[in-house]
Amino acid sequence: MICSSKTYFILWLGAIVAAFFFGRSSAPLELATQPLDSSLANGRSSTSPVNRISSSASNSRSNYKNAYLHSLDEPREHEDFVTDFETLLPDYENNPESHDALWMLADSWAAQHPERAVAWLSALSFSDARNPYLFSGLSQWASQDPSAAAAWVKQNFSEQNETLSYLKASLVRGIAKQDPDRAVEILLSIPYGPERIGALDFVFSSWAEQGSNAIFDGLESIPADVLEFRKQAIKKAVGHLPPEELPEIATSWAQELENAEERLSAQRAIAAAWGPQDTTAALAWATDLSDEAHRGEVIGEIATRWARVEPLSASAWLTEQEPAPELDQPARSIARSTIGISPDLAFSQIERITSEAFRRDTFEHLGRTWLADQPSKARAYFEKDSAIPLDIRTTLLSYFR
Amino acid sequence: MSTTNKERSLSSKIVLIGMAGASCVLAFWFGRVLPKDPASASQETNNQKSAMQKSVMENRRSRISRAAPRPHPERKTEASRSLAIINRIDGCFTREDFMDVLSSILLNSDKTEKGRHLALLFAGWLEEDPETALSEVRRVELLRHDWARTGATFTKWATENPSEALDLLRTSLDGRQLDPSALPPFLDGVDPPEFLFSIVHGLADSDPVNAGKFLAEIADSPVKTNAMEVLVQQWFSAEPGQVYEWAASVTDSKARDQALQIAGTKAGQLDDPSLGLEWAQSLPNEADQLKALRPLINQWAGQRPADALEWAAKLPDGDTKFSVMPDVIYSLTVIDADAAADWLDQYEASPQIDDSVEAYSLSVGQWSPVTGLGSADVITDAAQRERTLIRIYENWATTDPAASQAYLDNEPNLPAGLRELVSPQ
Repeated sequence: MICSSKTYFILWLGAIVAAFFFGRSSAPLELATQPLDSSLANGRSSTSPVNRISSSASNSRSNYKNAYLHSLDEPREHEDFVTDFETLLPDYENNPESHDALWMLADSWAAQHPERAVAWLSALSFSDARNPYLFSGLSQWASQDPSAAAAWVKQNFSEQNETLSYLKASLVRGIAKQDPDRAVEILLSIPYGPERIGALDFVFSSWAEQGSNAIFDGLESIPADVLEFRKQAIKKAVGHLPPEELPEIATSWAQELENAEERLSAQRAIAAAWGPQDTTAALAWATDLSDEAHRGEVIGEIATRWARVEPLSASAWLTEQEPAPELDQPARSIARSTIGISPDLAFSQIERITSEAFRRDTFEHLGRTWLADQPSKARAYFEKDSAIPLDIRTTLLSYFR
Repeated sequence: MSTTNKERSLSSKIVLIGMAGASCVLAFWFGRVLPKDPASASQETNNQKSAMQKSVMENRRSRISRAAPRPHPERKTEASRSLAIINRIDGCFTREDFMDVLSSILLNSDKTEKGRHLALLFAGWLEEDPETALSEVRRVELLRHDWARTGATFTKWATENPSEALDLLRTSLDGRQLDPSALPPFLDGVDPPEFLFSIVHGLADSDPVNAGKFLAEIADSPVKTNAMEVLVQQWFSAEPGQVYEWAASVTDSKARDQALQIAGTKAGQLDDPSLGLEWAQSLPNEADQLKALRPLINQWAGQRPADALEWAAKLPDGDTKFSVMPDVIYSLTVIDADAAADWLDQYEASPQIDDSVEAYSLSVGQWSPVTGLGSADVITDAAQRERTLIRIYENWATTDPAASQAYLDNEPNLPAGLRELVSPQ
């Protein structure tokens, strides 16, 4: 009996030990299936980033992009970046995602190995003289070490080099966040043209993060010697203002601008941004503007956008207004959006345009637009009497021959 | 008594067995809960918990951010900035959520980032609510001018989600495009159809058969025709046989005409259009055959007019031959006017051959107006002859007024009535 009890005891102990180890061995399997943030898990795998672009499924929102993006900031050797870049490069023209992947790869590469990355990227050549990946890498370098990046540009690109302006814009982009004054200085060293205008966006993006006062203060540092550039700067400034500041702060600021063209530029930009948010309020402001000569253009900005979304409402509003020079441009904009719905309505509104030259031009211009889009409908319409003058109808019909 | 002892002994055994079983279950549970290497496993568990908590916190933050938009993160790398955007998009579920992120991108992303960030936003929005995504994308001013990158997102989504894409197409083109009170028509300057076409482009890869069937059945509108062209453009490259089959199967007469024309056009653009010619001639009636053959021959003749002539000349004299021949003659005249004239010379002037003579006259008249006018004079239909004469002469008068006027003043064998036709009233 004693012997038998010992045996049972030993068997019991054995069973306990076995149960413990069985439970222990099954535990990790259970833990491994815990719902980790899958994107983070993917991002930490050892797969090459490039492989992650092509092999991962996009069955959940942006998972594969997360994996690739996480991998970009992992510490890697210069040579690994070269390999990945060369793998993706052949596809850059056909696939926008490959272009994006390369752009970000160049940026992360320059974040880790700035000078070597930029040197390697600068050796690439494209059909366009502008090298987007050098732009990306150089911006990144400039954000870390503005002086070194600027010195590299100066050393490698002469003043006559056709891409110098483009690369200066890249420096502006990199430096703007840390040192906006220095960024503006570089910006103004770019000759007036598309690169200088384009680079404005980088300094305004940077000021926008500090609030509207920084935008207005920043605008003051843009000289008024080239009016067109100044107007572009004003447009960028308004485009970066928070929407809630348009009705009061922006409109008051614009009204105080002394130069009439600058004022118009600001008011048009406000109309373009505010109109789609609150058409009624924006129209009320625009129709109240004291500057009669510019009022039509400002209303036109609002009407164009309104008519794209609600053509009949915009048209009904216009019909309620007395014909006036300031409504000529809005009439053209609205007619453009209603012509496919109701040609009679569109052409009768064009008929109300007060300037004869502008009215005739609008009849023909819109007639040709319509003709290109709906030729058979347009032809049938032009062949019968309507608000369109006979000679313009004849011209339009001649396009069919 | 002995029975009672036996019962007690039995009860004790049952209790002992129960305790043994319970202790085994406890041992199994401890084994499960206690880690192999307490230090590392506890770290692992903590990491996982932390990751889960992080995920939950990020979602919460995203939700909170709807009320108060977060500023953009400081520039670190492009990857980290894009990840910040993606994290916000992953927390979006309603239109308002997505609109908040859209506003933030438009306001804060710089011009090199906007396209990429918008594409990420609409990729997420399409997965959550395709109809609203399509409805809102057309209102983004920036995308009216620069739509290709975001358009590619719509195409990719439609390629990967054919049934959802087809549903979206049904919702968008269910006839509302014909009802101006609901949606403006797809006209330049009104409602850019690029994103709708991007979806059709994706479906051309993933489910062209059903997309073709659907487009053929919907109400007629400009966007329908354009969408059919977008579909066939891609579909034909991969499966021309399916396109021929589809075009021949469309029952609505107007849609059928469009389908035959589009398929014929694509067939005529091939280096070897023989399969297309065979298909067009196999169509059940002559009217349909002509609808497919005309664009086919037009395209073929534009590239290889001599080959097109050789094929068309073998057709029996009849409506089909004399309908397709003008395009051949027009193109052939440009490279070999004698060959075109030789073919025409086989026939006496007649209404049947008038269109081919007109084509020759207009084509040759571009560099030799006198020859063109002389040829046009043999057109038998009076109205057609006058129209052709006027066109040739007016074109000449625009490019060389002096020579054309001298011809009018001095030519003894002017085509009948030309002077009256072109003189100012």
